Amino acid sequence: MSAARHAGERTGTGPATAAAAVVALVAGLPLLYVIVRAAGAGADTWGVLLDRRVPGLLATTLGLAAVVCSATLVLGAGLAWLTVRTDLPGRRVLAVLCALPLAIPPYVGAVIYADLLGPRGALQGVLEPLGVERLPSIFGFDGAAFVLILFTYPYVFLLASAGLAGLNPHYDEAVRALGGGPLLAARTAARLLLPALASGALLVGLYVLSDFGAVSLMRLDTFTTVIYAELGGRFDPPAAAALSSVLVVLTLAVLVGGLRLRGGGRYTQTGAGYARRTVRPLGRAKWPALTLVVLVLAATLGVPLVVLVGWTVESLGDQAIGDFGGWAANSLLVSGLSASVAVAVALPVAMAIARGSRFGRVLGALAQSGYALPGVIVALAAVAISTRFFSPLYGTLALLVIAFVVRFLPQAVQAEESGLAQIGGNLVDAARSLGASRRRAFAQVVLPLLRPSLVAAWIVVFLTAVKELPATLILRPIGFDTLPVRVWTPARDGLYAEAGPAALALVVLSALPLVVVLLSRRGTLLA
Amino acid sequence: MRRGALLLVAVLLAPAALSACGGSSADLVVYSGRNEALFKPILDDFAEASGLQVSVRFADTTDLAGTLLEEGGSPRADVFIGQDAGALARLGEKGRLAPYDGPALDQVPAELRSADGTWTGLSARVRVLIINTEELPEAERPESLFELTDPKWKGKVAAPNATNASWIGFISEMRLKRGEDETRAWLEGMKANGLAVLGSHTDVRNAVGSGEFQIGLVNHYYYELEQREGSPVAQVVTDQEPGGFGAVVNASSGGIVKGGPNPENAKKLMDFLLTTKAQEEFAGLNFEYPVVPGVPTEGLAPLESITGTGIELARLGPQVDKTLDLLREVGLES
Repeated sequence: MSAARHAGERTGTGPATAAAAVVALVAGLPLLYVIVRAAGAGADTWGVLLDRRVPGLLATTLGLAAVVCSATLVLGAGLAWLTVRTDLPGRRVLAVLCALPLAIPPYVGAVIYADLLGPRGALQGVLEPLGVERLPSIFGFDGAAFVLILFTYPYVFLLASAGLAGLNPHYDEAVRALGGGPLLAARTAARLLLPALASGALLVGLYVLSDFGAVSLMRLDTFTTVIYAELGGRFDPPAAAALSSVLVVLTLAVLVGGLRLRGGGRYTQTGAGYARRTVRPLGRAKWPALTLVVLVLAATLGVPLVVLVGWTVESLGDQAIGDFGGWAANSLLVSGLSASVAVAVALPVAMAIARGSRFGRVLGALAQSGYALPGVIVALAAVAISTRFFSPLYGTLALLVIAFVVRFLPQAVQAEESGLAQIGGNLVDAARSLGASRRRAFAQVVLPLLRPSLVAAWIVVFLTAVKELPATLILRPIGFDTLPVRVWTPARDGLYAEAGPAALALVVLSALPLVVVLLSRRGTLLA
Repeated sequence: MRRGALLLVAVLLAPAALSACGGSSADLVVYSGRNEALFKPILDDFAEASGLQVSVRFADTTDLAGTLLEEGGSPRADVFIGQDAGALARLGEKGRLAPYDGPALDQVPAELRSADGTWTGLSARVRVLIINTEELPEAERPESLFELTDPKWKGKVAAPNATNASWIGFISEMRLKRGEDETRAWLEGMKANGLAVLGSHTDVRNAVGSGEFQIGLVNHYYYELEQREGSPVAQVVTDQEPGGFGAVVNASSGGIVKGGPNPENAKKLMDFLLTTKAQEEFAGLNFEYPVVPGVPTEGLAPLESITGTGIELARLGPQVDKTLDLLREVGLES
């Protein structure tokens, strides 16, 4: 029994549970709202939507998720294997670089590639002398898939890298000793890595379902864009809620399916063994492999940075630096506040989950409903609930922060719960036996030990919040523009170059904490 | 314990700090459905001339109208500026606008403002086709909107989406003049013909200017702006034959929000927008038609030379929801 005991079980107190219940209730409100409002949408609304919109949207949205998941699995796992388990030249540096595209939001990627590959774009200019008059349009499904693949594969890459690093090389050696080729070795590794790969694909899938900016800029209708149009165009909350409910069900199905896949095929390593890190010599494949990695990095890091810097230099002077500082400060303010609040309110929830009671698990699940709620839906619920019941809250920064916290709470809860699980319960017992009160044992023993997890949770929430677009567009107070908003505003008018400076600032702002996390070897926490 | 206490204090203080941030200190709050690039210079001039601190929310006209309706009896905005008259007429009907009377209001033609003074046109515009001249020689250009469902234009036409109030106003006029069935058939024909639905008028004009599409459905000044950027574009004012549909003439409009926090400053802005100076900016910066006489246009064909549809703008108000329903049914929302 004692093996299963950890600090979480020892710190349960009435107030903490009450706090967890409040947090879970608030976090669960948007989901509740969507269900109630969708059920209340008239038969007419449902009829038109089910007949005219839902089938097409289902096909596009699911198709996009399937294509992007498959491609990121190949790309992410391939890069992870090359940088972790082979003698690829410069692999340590490359491993960090391969994760960095996470700092470039897919909608920024969409702005860049819409300009480069769009009509009369740079590529067309290069190809024109060769007689190419018109490129196939970048806009639509293919363009959206292309951009999402390039900028979401790091999720798979990070988890696969962590999985590979922890994988006992003996399996690889056994395959080789038995005469198996590299294909069989890869298949064996894939089986053992299934949980990590499934987690990565799940994150990518959830991202694709919730993406608004990249698909909009690529002119592709998915659930999020139509929900946004229902809200921003005709302001029809029941119709938006009806569509949202379909998207929530879809997201939950993907979530449950992904978690099943992750847990279902688990192969256990018996014992840690002697985990000497072996690398597979690539031999003659070394240089082609390196070329491949460099090409991927060129597309996901090199080209975007060159383009953004170019645009920024071009438009310097056109835009007031003061405005810029204001947008960056707003981004920092809203993301920083959201991260702090999320880290604080996630703690009682993580403790409730760690206690392991049924009630705790229910609270935990409710508090993590943000996973199934794309930004547009959280915003929809926030507008409707605040205008109806808490009207002073409407249009304030506080509402935006609350929406962010609800949306990103799952990440904080996960980080803190895994941190709590690693703190032995005997430490709390020892403190208590020495006469410390529960509160004191928590404050002086558990909390300091939990600090790395709290810091990691803060960074992860900050990193996601600073890039958030759709909820910000809908909920921001009057005159409150953030960097993502300032990327979006010119980009939706097709003025891609004007989005450059804000996009560059945004990328730098997200890259800083990302590099800190990557270098501290907590990379997998991002996912 | 100290750390725990600090955390607790931080959590307790956060809502207070946040609500402090939420309060607005502006002297005047404007909801602007007009594009920031086109309207901000004029507001900046007003702020400078009046010394008032102006706070603006730029978004789609439809979005802001919905927001204002949702805000109910305690609106945040003082002045509402819309891309088209229909949005204002709808707000007026729902009792969300206060009557305005100013020194220049009488000079605005009656057909460009409401009878009860709840809203007035600020600048006029004509719906036109913007044409890429490299892709489409003069002889081949369509002269009627109703030609555009012809298969020969398949995949060559772009329009804004249903968050665009001018586009909604245009469809409303077609519904009023040609009836529900013909409008639906036209929209379905356009959709079947691969009409590209883009994010905004600016996106449409860029896409036509670059040759991605041959034809775009826009307000006339988007043609003027694109042409002045050096793109190979021309405009066609459609359906001008005698007895034809005519061209849709609409007005960007403004009104004072009923119950807004700063009614006096709201009136000052409305007065300013109808001054010769502001009207010159609408005409000079944006190539729109001024609504008060005596202000020159920037090389535009006189408004009187264009045959309109004859639909009064005030009639567009009750049509907004029905037009949005139709666009949704046809699947041309976004």
